Amino acid sequence: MSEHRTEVVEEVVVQREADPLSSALRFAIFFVIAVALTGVLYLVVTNVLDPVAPRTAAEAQLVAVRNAVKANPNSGGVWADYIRALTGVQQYDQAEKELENARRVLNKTDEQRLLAEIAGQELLLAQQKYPEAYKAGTAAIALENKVRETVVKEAAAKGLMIDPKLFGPEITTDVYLFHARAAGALEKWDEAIESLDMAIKYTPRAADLYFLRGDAYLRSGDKKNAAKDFKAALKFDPQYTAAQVGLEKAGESK
Amino acid sequence: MSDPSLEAPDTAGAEPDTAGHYETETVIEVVDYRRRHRALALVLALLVLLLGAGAYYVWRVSQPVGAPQAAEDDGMVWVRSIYGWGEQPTELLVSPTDAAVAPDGTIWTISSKTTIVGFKPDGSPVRVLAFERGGQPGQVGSIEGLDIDEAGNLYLADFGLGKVHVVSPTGTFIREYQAQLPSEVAVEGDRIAIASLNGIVIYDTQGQVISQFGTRGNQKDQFDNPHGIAWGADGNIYVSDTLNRRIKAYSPDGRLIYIAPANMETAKPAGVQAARETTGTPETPYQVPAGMTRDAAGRILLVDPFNFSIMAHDSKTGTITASFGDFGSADGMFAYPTGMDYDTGRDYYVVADTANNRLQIVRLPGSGGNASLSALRRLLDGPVWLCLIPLGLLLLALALWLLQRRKRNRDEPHEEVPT
Repeated sequence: MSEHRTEVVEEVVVQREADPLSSALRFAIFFVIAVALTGVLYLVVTNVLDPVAPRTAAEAQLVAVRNAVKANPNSGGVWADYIRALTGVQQYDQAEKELENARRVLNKTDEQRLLAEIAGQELLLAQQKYPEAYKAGTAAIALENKVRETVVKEAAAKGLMIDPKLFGPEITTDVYLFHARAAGALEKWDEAIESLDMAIKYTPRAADLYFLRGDAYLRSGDKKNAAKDFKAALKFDPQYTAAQVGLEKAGESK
Repeated sequence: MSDPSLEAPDTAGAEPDTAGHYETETVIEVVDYRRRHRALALVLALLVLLLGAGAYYVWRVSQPVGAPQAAEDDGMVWVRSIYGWGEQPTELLVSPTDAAVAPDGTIWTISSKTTIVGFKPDGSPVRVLAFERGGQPGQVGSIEGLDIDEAGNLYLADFGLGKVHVVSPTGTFIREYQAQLPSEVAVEGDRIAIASLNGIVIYDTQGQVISQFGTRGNQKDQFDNPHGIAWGADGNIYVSDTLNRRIKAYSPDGRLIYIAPANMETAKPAGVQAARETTGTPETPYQVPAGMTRDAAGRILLVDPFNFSIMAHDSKTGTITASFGDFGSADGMFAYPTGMDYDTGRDYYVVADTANNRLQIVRLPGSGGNASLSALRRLLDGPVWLCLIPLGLLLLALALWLLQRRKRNRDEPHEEVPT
């Protein structure tokens, strides 16, 4: 028997395959993290999110009205200007916050708060929140009536007799106009017409009010009154194209 | 990560060599990397998503409110407006009458006639030099115009005190030049041209008068309240003869080259419009030509406060080649602008929009600025800035990755682990 001895060498070599994709992904992750950190650093260094001065006409206007509010926080008019300015540049969230601030500051003076509430109506209309605008409009009308009553009573107590119609006609007009716009958007034509009646009562020479009422009549099917209002609008503004179109829709020509 | 699964070495069919040794067996470790890849890819996707959302939010928030989105019809592009160095009423510009751009890009302007304010090109404030009004050293009277020399020193035309102050950017008074009621100053190299009530005086930097020409009046060689002066690329001097409603070009030694429009050689006295209409005063495109500058194309540009516009001229003939702007308070519109300057490096014009209490930075067609450089600069003006450093990092990371892979492939294509 052979003495030959078999030697088994258990030298097993494992080859691990290279994994370039994992390396690439890891690099990409580190890169994205580096980008984020660099971006944060850049923002901190340049202060780009918190500019120290206005950069556009709109920002300058916002600064001006904000300064006016700081200088005269008890004026409903300046709060209204501020809210309108924010609404104008579509900063609705900020406008809502400032409306709340205005309500808190002006809560003791209905007359001043009314001005801010009117700006609030405009804000809701701009946001196309018509049910809320309608509700706010109804509340604003009630507040306007209360303010008017108070003003007349206070005048009477001083022995003065004032014509209620002469009290802030533009304020009253705005209250009813914005309520009418909200009602119209909700297709509550009767209420829209009713509010526009009041708006026209206080501002009887505004072509756009007649046009809006004519449009409300037209949409509610009352072509006769619609034509009458479109004609009235054209009387005050003969170039009012929308009124001319409305008149044709009402079945009449100028 | 998954554990590697080893396949059993297949030695069943292996034959020993003559010495009785079996050949070395190689075992391929098959690792399931797919789960690892999926996890890494998921993490990467989430990070990219977060970064994108963050960048979008930052971009939205950093956009100026109400900025115009498109160029004006005339090709003028609004870049930015500067209203002040803070939000308090005392920190806002008041009737800036002139603007000048320093070699480093700092924009200087005059507020309330006594305060000089410097801004970075991005509109953030650099320095406010609030001078006291008075006649003592270190005080000023009423600053109407300014310019900047190559060293960055400010030349302030003090209409009230009848002199031009030279002030360092930190507010130190360096020297002064005498001039009768100066309204504007233009510095080019070692020459200082001053437009004063009665004409033009040119100094060198040592304070020596090089030339002086003009008297007050409406004749050919006379001036009436010139409010704009600029050096041409050809070394000539261009003047807005404001109340005579014309512009004039002079050689440095005071020789008249032209008057534009040509029919205004003898200007009628400014004043009563009715008299002008009845006496047949020559037609002029200017109302009251004011602040002047020169751009990279060599054009002479001026602002006319009552035309509410910037007017570009061929410097050789004085012919108006283009007009930009309109009246208004919106960005890109002007209300009685009175001064301007051109930034060669950034290819934009800075206009003192006086009645709007702001500076406006605009770009105009035909400026002659380096188009590609300007485009790059325009790009850098925007949120692309945010990406510059990360882009550099990306390139660095890519380079490192490639280097590492190359090294691995060259040195050790396959990592061998004995078991």
